[in-house]
Amino acid sequence: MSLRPDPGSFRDPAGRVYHDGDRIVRAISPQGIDDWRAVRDTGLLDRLAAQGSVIASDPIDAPADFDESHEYVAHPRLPFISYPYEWGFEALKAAALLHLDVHLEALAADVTLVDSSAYNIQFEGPRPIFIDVLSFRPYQEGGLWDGHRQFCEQFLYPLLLEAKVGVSPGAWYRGALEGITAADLRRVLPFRQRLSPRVWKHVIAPTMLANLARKMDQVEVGRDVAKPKLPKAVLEAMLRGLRGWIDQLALKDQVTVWGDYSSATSYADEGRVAKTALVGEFVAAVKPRMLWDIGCNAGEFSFVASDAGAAHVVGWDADTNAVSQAFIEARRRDAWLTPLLADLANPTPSQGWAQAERPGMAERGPADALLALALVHHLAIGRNIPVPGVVDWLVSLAPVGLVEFIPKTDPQIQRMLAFRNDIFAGYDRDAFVAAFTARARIERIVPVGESGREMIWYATA
Amino acid sequence: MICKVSEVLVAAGLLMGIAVAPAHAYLDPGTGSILLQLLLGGVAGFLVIIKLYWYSLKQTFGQFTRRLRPKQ
Repeated sequence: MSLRPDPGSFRDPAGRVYHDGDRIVRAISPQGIDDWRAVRDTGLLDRLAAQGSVIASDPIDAPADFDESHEYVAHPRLPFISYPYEWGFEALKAAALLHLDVHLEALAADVTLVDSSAYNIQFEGPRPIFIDVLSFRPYQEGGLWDGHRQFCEQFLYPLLLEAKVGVSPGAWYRGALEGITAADLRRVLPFRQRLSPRVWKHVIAPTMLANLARKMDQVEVGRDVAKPKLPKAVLEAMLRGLRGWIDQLALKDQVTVWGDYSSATSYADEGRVAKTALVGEFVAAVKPRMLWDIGCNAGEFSFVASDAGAAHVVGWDADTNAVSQAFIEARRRDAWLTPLLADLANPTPSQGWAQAERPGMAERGPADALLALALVHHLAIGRNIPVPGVVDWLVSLAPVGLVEFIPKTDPQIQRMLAFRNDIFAGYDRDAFVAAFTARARIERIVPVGESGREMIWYATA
Repeated sequence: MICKVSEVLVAAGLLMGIAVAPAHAYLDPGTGSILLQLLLGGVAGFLVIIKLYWYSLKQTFGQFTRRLRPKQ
């Protein structure tokens, strides 16, 4: 099997990442080998891997036709790769805390982290895991925290934006892959927040100092002055301070929003029992390794699928509170569910360098199985997407799936149409079934509840 | 006012080092972040110095106050 270079692995010349079937191969260049060996010999990485906080690395021989001057390690392939702009508040917070914990534990072994990229954290279900073992380098006494700004822009500022301003950072983050800058966050923070000493230290002071440095840029370049130093105790205090701060950040109005949640989601869902049984039956029959639950809400049916034997479930939903609630619940149940934020009428595109660095939703598919419950009317009526287009997209996501159709007479659609003309002549049960028949085999159509809702079980293979 | 004080502080000693900040990282740590860490390191350094000389400071201060105290 040939090794395929990962298009997102190019920043650090110390190594390169390749896909090789069920494993990931990392080539460590001569430039990075000494540091790598020094870190490896501390035993830190083995310890962190055993805890599950860092990905496991096994030394391997150079693959055929690969440079013998490099060293090679193999990592297990994670079931799914997601990006910080797809994480809900709770997931981003868990990732930030893991990053700080790993850094603190590393420092205790005289190892430091050379960067703080949020993209170095991935999720196994709801559990964050650090995947870039080349970020670890031997700690040199007095060394600065090179990743401080990156940590702030990719973890702290997006979290503050949501916790202190009440704005979900996903859309902003998706457009600014390097994160949110201090200068931008400073402008949107409420005045009262700017008075907080911690905000002053990590948001205001860096922008002020950078502005000042810009004004004084006549400083002679290359002038020989002492290297700036940061005592280790101060670095550890910075990390611990951030940890304590982030740990107590909470969603604005979290209680009220979540309090309302269970009542808001129990609307007219009289077919719940039938739906639960059918999802269980579907998953037991298909036995998917990877199931996507699109429009997963707070994960109710993701957990049904998980309990019925779907090895890995990725949930997608546009509601940041629902996604965070699903995340917390997945952690509580220790279920393999990663809930992600997505506007399904505008799914995550492929983006970054050469539009290949961070693959989009479709590029990370197809899944083995699909759940799309109480979703299609949001696309077909809420977003005016013609029914054949919706079905085209659904069947492209997985070769087999369970899709709920909700008729126009359903109160939920009646509410959506309350203030608009019904221009959706093409939205009816027959058109929907015909669209599936043209693209797939319909295994079963099962009515759920009284309002005429139906579940369509399709298979394209 | 606070801005003025910190501006003077920074300009006085810290900025000089920045232009030659060693680039061992493959990513740019950013001027603001480096300066912040220098300040934090500076404050910590200052506290360490105080701690080191605490005894002699106390002595000096003690002698000074003893002299002021009215003799019994």
